[in-house]
Amino acid sequence: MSSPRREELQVDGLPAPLSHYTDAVRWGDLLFVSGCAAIGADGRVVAPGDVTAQARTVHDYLGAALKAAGTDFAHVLKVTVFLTNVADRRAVNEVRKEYFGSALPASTLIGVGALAIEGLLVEVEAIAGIPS
Amino acid sequence: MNPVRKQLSDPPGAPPALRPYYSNAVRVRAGDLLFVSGQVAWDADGQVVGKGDPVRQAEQVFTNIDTILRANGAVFDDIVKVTVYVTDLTWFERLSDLRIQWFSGSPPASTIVRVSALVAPDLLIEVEVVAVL
Repeated sequence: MSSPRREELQVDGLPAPLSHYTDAVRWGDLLFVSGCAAIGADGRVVAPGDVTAQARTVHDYLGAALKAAGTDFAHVLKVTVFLTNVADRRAVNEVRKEYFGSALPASTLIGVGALAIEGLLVEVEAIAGIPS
Repeated sequence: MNPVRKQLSDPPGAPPALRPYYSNAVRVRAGDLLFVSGQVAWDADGQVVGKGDPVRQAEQVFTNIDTILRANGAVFDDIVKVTVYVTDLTWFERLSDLRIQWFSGSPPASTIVRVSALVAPDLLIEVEVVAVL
């Protein structure tokens, strides 16, 4: 069997990457999605101070990346959630339920000292399977 | 979701998921990969083991990972990537001594970072792994 092809994805509707990376990379039937954060098309933080609104934007972006690769939240294998304040996890979790429904990914959650732009409260990266 | 392609795993003996929106592991049949959620020093009842004792916590973390790996037919030698999150790095050498005991056979790729907080204030270390089956 030949080696899978590496395919870089740039997803419509996501903010431009902040540095030398792309929105997602596909390798065979695996998809690696870069950390999604609530950055608007203008490069500014969406909903400063509102972690629930930021989490919705994050999951909208993640959903767009999944859809662009032909997959969805039900096929997410692993997420890593980064919070500037771990006390926000309950609010983020409510949003997560809205998007994941009954699908349960493996998950790690950590509190971090800072995210890429001042004012960001939550970032989520994901690895997903792509159904054949 | 195709149950053949993706199987969720919450084996007995592993600490329960903190909330019902994730499982401890997801097995991907197509790739034979195992993604293990970040494990912390909780026992099977969800109680913190080794409050204030980072080495004891790390032992519990690796024991939990071992439980989950074994329930999926894997062992520590099958781990291909480990990510370690600690709230404090001053005990790094003691942690390293412990990791040598667990990862002696086939050392995985590894990342360790110090974080500002874990999911509960008593927790000092969290470890996630990806294994190949």
